[in-house]
This record gives sequence, structure tokens and C-alpha cells, in this order.
Amino acid sequence: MEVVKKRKAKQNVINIAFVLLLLFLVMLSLYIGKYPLTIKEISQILLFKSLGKKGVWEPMAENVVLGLRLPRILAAILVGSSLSLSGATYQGIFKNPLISPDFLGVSAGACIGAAIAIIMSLSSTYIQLFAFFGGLLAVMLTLTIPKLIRSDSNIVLVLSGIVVSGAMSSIMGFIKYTADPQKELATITYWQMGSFSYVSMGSIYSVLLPIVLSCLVLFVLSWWIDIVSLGEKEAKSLGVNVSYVRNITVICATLLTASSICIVGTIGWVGLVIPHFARMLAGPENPRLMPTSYLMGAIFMLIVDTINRTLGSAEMPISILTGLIGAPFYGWLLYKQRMRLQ
Amino acid sequence: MIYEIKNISFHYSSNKRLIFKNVSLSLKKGQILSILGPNGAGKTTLLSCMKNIISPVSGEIFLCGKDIRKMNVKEIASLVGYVPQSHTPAFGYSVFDFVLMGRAPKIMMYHKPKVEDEEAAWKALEMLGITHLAEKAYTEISGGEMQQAMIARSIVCHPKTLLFDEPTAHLDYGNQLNVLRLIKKLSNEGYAIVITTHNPDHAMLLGGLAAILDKEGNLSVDHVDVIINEKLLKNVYNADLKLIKVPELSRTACVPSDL
Amino acid sequence: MRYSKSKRLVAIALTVIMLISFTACKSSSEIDSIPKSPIGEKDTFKVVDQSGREVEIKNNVKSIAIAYGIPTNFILALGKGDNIVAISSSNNMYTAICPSLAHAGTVGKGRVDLEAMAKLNPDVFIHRGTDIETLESVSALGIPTIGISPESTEDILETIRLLGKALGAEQRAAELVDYYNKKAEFARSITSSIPNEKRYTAIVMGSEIGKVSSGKMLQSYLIETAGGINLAKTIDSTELWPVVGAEKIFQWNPDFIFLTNSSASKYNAEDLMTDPAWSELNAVKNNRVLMVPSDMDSWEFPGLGTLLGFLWMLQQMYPELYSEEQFLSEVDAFYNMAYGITFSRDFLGY
Repeated sequence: MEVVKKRKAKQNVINIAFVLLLLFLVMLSLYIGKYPLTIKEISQILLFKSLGKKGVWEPMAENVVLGLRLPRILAAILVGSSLSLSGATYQGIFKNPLISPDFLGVSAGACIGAAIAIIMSLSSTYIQLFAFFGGLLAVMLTLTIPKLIRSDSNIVLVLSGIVVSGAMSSIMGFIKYTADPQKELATITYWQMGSFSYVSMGSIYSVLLPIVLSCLVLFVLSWWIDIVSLGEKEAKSLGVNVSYVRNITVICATLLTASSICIVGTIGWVGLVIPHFARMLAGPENPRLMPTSYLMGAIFMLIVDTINRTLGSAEMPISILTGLIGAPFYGWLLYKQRMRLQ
Repeated sequence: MIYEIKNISFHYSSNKRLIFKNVSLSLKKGQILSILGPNGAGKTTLLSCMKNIISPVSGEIFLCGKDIRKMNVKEIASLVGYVPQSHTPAFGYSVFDFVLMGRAPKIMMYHKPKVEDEEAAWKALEMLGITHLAEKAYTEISGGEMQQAMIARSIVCHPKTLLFDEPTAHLDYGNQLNVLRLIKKLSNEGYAIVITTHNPDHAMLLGGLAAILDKEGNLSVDHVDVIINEKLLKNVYNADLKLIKVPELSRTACVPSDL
Repeated sequence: MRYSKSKRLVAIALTVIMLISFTACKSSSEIDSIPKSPIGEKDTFKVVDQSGREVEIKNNVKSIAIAYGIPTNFILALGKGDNIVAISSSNNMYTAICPSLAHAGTVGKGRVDLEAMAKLNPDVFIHRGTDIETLESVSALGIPTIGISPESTEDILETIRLLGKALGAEQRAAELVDYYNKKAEFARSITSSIPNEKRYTAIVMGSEIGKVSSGKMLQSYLIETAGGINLAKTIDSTELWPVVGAEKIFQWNPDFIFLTNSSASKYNAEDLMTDPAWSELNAVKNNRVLMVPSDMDSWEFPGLGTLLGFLWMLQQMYPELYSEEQFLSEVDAFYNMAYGITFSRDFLGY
């Protein structure tokens, strides 16, 4: 039993270190940016505002700290953690380390759902709902194809995701074609691109509840995801209601992906890459993997976005940066997996 | 009585051909039943029915006196341990965590294993003498070790009976004997054990009951010495096999006669 | 197989909570956590911009930020070029008119870098009227934002008036509008006696072959003001630049094919003139496939320069009624009037 306890302790050390690192990065990120502010000013604004007191400072300084930096930092944490948690969930529940929200077509489906709601000029609440159901529909389609051709190979699921994503992108093209180029088109394009630059507290509040709930459910079910990842037959022989666990976790993971898309649009690769790094550190068991993956996703996204908003004169679409890291990593992953894919 | 199976038949919904028909058998505490039959005869299907993963089209199965159709999955899982034939793992879970998953029947949904569950898993590792593997990824251990880990997982809930699907199929000769030795040990501890195998020698080494499932789907059950005879083996395996008494070991061995 | 009821309950509860959480959310525009910077009542006035938003602006605007190309020529013509503190891109013509533009900063291209904007803290931000998201995000910083949509001639004149009012140059704006209207009047008067059936037919083709400017576009107005008939006006489409395809254009057989002057174009006039498929078209036979000038100040892009656009088309289509000499003097007169400077033909590139 000693080894087991030792490993638990090591796990706690890793996670505590990550929490501390994240807190440090949040502070650091609050203190750096293009708008010149002294440490004293920022601390004053944060301290006085959180205590509800009134202080004297430039109104613009407050706007920058509380209206620009804080929402961006929170959004980066929420989106990074949500995407990597949903990636870890999909990988576990479909016992396939090669998939992620984007590879399953969930992101594309959520974008289409959002685009349809925009075309119908529905409110932002409906845009979120439509994004969620679009994502859910896409993942269901992706899962149907391997069933139809009776294959449970990893590569078939990935290919099926490509098929669905391809179909989704032509539907997207059609929607964009019919969209009013003056108003709707720009909004739809924004959903597809992914950017943290216009994040507001309002958009964060609007997705907070579904994100927190989904994360809680996934953390609580993490051990059961391990069992389902053994395969349907084995999980059933262990008395586990496989379809129940699968449905709930897929709904939660899709909700996480759709919610992140609602705040910042599609951001590729995070959901694929981060769970793998977390697996290297924490091991493949989901009760350990998920918290680490969650924290690493938040840290990764915060670092990437802080770099993006502070370096250079103009911001890049965030997917350029995540793709730069993600694509070579996927290549390496395929290389490592080559034996099993044949 | 652990198992009481009465006249069960099964066919898949896509194909009306019966895989087995009117199968009856019963199994007591500490008994071993070896189900013999050629590949594809439906041995695994029969085990699946005994786990209630699939339901027979007719007949009844009683598990510990209860109609299995009226039991829920958790109840069945805590009474029946299952050791699958082989396993291609997607993730390299540690052997300890793998064994711990065997506690699922005892844990409520939305809960996680507690310390007592971990202790039970550790005891199962101790019983099989594989505590040194606890932290190893089970993708990186040998076939024999994996079989041991799966057996440890099946007993971690202290079920009444263990079902082994071809436990020796993927092992080298030495490990095959280790597993058979282990199965005998488990039956001595009181587990009712069912194994499927296509090696008649293994059934004879284990002793106890044997059953033969032929290609027509008929199952005959009796004591292993009674049921295994040359005519029946010829019938089932389509090969000339001789049963030879080995006085040094005071048992019968099965060898091919035309090689 | 039976499962406990509690699990089903959890599933239902989860779905319900999910739906509630969605409907309970507020849209991003409903919540505004950022306090607006206090603006004294006397020092400000209100205008309604071209996206229909009411904007409160300082009386004496000293600094202007822009993040896309279109507003520049309006601001320069209004004489407020020196007030531009951030620009997305400039060119030699703009810096010749207003040297300080060479030193202006940037707040991003298209999408705005909000923190850079906050650092610059301009008195007003002028942007695309359709990009509500950007306008709102910058407004949330307490920076007044004006959305402009100079899509048609009427809108161009409205943009001049709006910016004139916002930047404190109403008088100048009125002069510019007056000048523009007079020139349009003049152009129409030249061809007014020509009956419809004798007028030249024309189209303006966009960034790809077969994509034409519909009746709603500025380009259509340019053709008509110059005395031509825009064949694409009959197209029933909600799109501004519908793709009708080459065959439709063959069927129309226009007398003139004008091409937009865009770096995004995938072809040029030469490609069409040498393509055997196009050789039977009147416009090709008569050497009347022409790119609208100029390289430096595009005359068919939203802006004051469009008045040169219709005068140039007029000169191309009816040289016997409006000579090249007359047109050249008009070019000088326009740049002199609008920016107080004249450019050589070489410099402008036409």
C-alpha cells in the first residue's frame, strides 16, 4: 500500500504546484500589458475594488485592469481548462488518444449551430443552445460512421471525424453564402476564427454555470470513465451502465466545448495536446489525469494569450499559436502510435 | 447451489441458427466446470449468458437461487467475477488501478473508490503475489502477468463464482500451468469456477466437471473422466486423439495418435 | 437490465439545470461592468452614427483613431488629418497630403487591440458601421465610437456630414457635399440628351471573373452618373457582388467592362483581352475592358474620389462630349479642392 500512498502524495504535490503556478501567472498577467500601469496602481484598483471601497485613479486604468485584462485572464483559464478537460474526456470515453473536440467535429458542429442561430437573429442564449446541440449532433454523427462499417479502430474514428468536419465545413460555407454580408457574415466568421480580444465579463458570466456544472460532473465520473475505457463488454461485466456513463460524459464534454466556443470561438489543438502532456505527468488514470489536465489547460491558454496580447503590435488569431504547438505534437503522437495503428 | 441453468437456448437476432440449445447444468461452491468445444462453438456466448450480458431466447438461469433476469447488473457483477480472454488496452493504467476497477460493483455511481476499496485491491494483488507489479503500466507487463492482474481484478469483490474465458489461450506453456494451478487454488478456497478451453488436457488437469459443446449446439455435462472419451473427442475436434493412463501421475493424458 | 432510479433522476436533473443555466445567462451586451469615464455635460454633444447608435463626443476632438482604410480620405478632406493618432495603413498620397500620418500609431487592423487603444485613449474612434462588436468593445472603454457606412453615394455624402459634425468641420463638410453634388449634376447634364437606347451598356466586374457589381452598389451609381446603363442592375439578388458567371456576361455583351482596382483580383484586363473565349464581346473587340484608376487613390472605393470615378467613366464612354483635357483639369481641381494639393498622373497611376 505504501507505493499507492506515495503516488497519491506525489500527485497532490503536482496539482498544488500547478495551482500556485496558475495563481502566480494570473497575477503576472494582470500586471503586464500595453497600457502602462504601475504595480501600485494595479494593486490599488484590485484591492479597493474587491473590498468595495472607493479610490482615486484614472478611469481608463480601471477599465484596462477590470474591463480588459481580468475578463481575458478569466476567459483564458475557463476556455483552456474546458477544452483540455473535454479532450481528456473524449479520449477516455472513446478509448482513443488520437481524438479531440476538433477531430470529432464537435467544434465545427457547434459553429454551425451558432451560425444558424445568428442567421435566424436569435438572442445569445439561443446561440449557446444551438451551439451545444450542433456540437452534440456532430459527435453523434461521427460515432455513427464506425458503427455502420463495424469497425472500432482508432483510425476509423479519426477518419470519421474528418468526414463529419468536412461535411460541416460545406454546410458552414452554405450558411455563410446565404448570410447577410453586411451584418451576419462578420459575426459568423468571428465564431470560426477564435480570439480572446473582445471578451467581456458578460460573456463569461453567461457560460459560467454550464461550464462549472459540466466540470463537476466530469470530475465526479472520472473513475467511471476509466472503466468504460476498458471496452463496453468488460465495463458491463463489472456492473457498469456503460451507455449512461457515456451519454452523461459526452453531453458534459460537448457542453464544455460549445461553451468555450461561445466565449472565444474555435481554438484548435488544446483539447488534443494538453491531455497528453497531463498523461505524461499524472498517468493515464482519469481521476488523476483530469485535475492535472484541467490545470495545465488553464496555464497553457493563459500563457499563450498573455504572450499574444503583450508581444507585437497586432494580435494574431490564437489558433495560429496553438496550431504551431499542436500540429507537430500530433505528428509525434502518430509516430509513437504507429505500431498500434497498423 | 451457485448456478442452476435450465434448458437455455440462444440465437442471435440476425441469424435464427441456434448457437446452443436446451442447455442445463448446475454448479456448486468449490466446483470447477471446464467447457470444451471447438473454436466458434459458442463457448463465450454461453459465458455471456451466464453473466446476463446477453439473454437466452428460452430457459432460465438462477444465480445463487435468484432468477438472473430479475437481478440488476451490479448485483450480478458482485457475485460473478469475469476474466476476459484477452484485452487490448487503450491506456497504460497501473496494475493497481486496473485491479481497483474490479471494485466497481461495490461502488455507487458518482462515487470514487475509498481507502477500503484500495485495501481490497492490494489484498488481491498480495493473494496473487504480484504486489511488485502494482505501479507498472499494464500495457508493459507480460501476458502471464496480465492474466494474473485480470484474475486479481475478478476476485477483488469476493464474488461467489469466477468465469474464465479461455484463460490459457495466449500464454506460453509454463504460464498456462501457472494459471491452471491458480484456478485449482481458487476452487479450493470455495469459488465456483467455469472455464472455457479447447484443450481437453486442461480439463483433465483441473478435474471436476466437464462439458462439451458440439457444433450442433448440444451440451453434455458430467464428471471429466466420464465425459471425455476418444469417440467424443474425435467427434468434436475431428482429430484422432488417444487417452493414455499415466501411472506415474495417476491420471489420464490426451495425446494425438497420428502425428 | 435495470438501473437504479436515482441515476435516471440525476440525468434528468442535469438536463434541467443545463437548460436553466442557458436561459438564465445574460447576453454580453446586457451586462456592462465597465464604468464609463465621466464626461461633463457642457463639453460634449451627441450625434447619431450610420449604424444608428447615439454617440456622445467631445466638442473639440483632438485625436482620432481608425483601424481600417476607408475613413482616412474623409478625415483628410475635412482637414483633420493632423488629428489622426492611429491608422491601419497609409500610402504615399496620404502622407503627401498630411505628413504627420507617417508617424501615427496603430491599434490593429480590422480587429482592434483594445489595450493599445486604451493606451492611446483617442477622443474618438471611427470604424466600420457594420462591425458592431468592435464599436461596442471600444465604447466599453469609455472611448466614443462612430460607425460609418459609405456604401452608396447618398451614404458617402452622409458620412461626410456626420464626420464633419463629429470632428467640428461642419462648414467644410457642407462645401465638400456641395462640390460632389455639383460634379454629379454636371456629369449627368452632359449625357442628358442621349436617349436610353443610344447609351452605352456597361458592367463593373469585381475581384473574380463573373462577379459583378449589383444595382445596390456604388459602382452602379458611377456607371449611371456617367451616362451608361449598368446591365447587372436587372439581377435579382440580395448580394452586393453577385456571381453571375462569364456566360451571363457573354449574353449581356456589354459595350464597356470596368474592372475594380483591387489587389485581391485574380485576373487583369489583359487576361480578358487575350482570352479567345472573350474575343467576340463588343467590349473586347473595341478595346473597352478598362481598370478603374487609380493605383494610389481608388476612384471606385467608398470616398470622395468616386466623383473622379464617374467623370473618368464619362470621359471613357463619351470622349466626344467630354474631352480628356477637360477631365485632367477636373482631376487637378478635385485634389486641390479636397486636399489642397495636386498630383501628377504618374504619381496617382492612371
